[in-house]
Amino acid sequence: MLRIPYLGLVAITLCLLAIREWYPFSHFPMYSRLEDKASVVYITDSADSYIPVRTAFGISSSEVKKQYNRVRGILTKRDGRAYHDATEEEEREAALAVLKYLDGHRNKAFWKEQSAQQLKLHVRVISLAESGGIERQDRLIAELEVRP
Amino acid sequence: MISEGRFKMAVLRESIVDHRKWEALLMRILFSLVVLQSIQWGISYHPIDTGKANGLGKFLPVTIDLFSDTGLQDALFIPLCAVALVCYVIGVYSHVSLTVVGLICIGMGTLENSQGWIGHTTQLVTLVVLTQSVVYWIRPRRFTDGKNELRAIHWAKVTIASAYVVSGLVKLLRSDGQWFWQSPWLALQFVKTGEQNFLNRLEEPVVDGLLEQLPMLILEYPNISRCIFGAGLLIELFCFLTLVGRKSALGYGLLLILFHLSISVAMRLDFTNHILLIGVFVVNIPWWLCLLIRGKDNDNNREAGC
Repeated sequence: MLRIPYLGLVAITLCLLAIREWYPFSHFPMYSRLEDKASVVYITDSADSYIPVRTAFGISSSEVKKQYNRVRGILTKRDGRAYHDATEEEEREAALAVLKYLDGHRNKAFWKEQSAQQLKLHVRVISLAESGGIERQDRLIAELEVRP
Repeated sequence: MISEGRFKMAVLRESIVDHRKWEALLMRILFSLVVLQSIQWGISYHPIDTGKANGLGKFLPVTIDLFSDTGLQDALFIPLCAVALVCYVIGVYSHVSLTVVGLICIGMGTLENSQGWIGHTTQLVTLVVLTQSVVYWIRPRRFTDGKNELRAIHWAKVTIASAYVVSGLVKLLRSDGQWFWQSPWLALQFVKTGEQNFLNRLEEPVVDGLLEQLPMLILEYPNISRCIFGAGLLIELFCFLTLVGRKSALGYGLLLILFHLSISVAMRLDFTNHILLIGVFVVNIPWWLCLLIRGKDNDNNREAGC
């Protein structure tokens, strides 16, 4: 009889590949497809000062970015586009949804001593410069008037 | 007589390690602690897009309703999980108890992954719980026997190894085999994670010391970087070597821990659950500590199983 070495490992590996490495049913192929650019989403107040998202809203910067991408994805999925093909209007709509979410999840302890009349969502694209270094391009996506 | 070629193959053959009873017990105790600390208790449901639950929540919305009730978590799920883990440790109805733990892990994981962002810090822990549950269900016993325990431990190791092999394969498949060539672009990811960490609390500088220079060094020396990142990819792809025996598991397990620690330092990512799992099942710290403390050739050790 043909004996397949590491049969269990092969079976589980194929199974995980088939279900696309989902956490029992959710997908996360980390750093599997590298690109020549990366991006960061950040939040500022009306004076364009950074707001520490973990302290101010209880979620991390990467989670804010994932929220933004998720909403973009929901908007673009309507006509079969990927989230990175969102139009400027869709980006703005997604950013406003994230800002409203954050405004509704303020950490009271932080906001006792801080105030903001506006929350702004920016995207910073980090890419390779022609000179060989790294360059950053920042873009304001949306701003939301909030109660201080 | 065994030929040289066949001998080499035999050296790399998968083997089920004959763990002692005390070793298996310690593994179960330590694994239970890993499971308990890995579950993100205390979270409720505050999604950015209501009705877009992930995973199991997509098919069974009641999962989200049940697990997002923090009162129910405190009153039911935490005690239930603790009792089930005690049963698993002492080997009573392991198939049922570990299934209960698995369902709680999936429920809490589904809740966590349905908030509008997804993560995978507890993925491997849950996979091991699920695999061991299946192993116990194949030969369900009121009190598990030694052979069943050995199978469960071995399949835990198989699951851990598979998860790494998959991680490596996915890199090759999704990048159309270009991952090795493109790996210097990881420099941008290093910058990204550094900045994201800064933006969380505004406490750390965006980049500091060696970390400041690291992305530029990667870009300036792309071929050296390819060799280093390529070695990381090979570590993932050859993870099945952890299944060869105790010594290979120790060596490869330590290599995996080093691999995770280096990523943690460079990218400030958290791999606590992975490191703990490898420490418990692959490196098997209790066994080697026992050997180190009591000496390899001591007669008493043979009696104690060291």
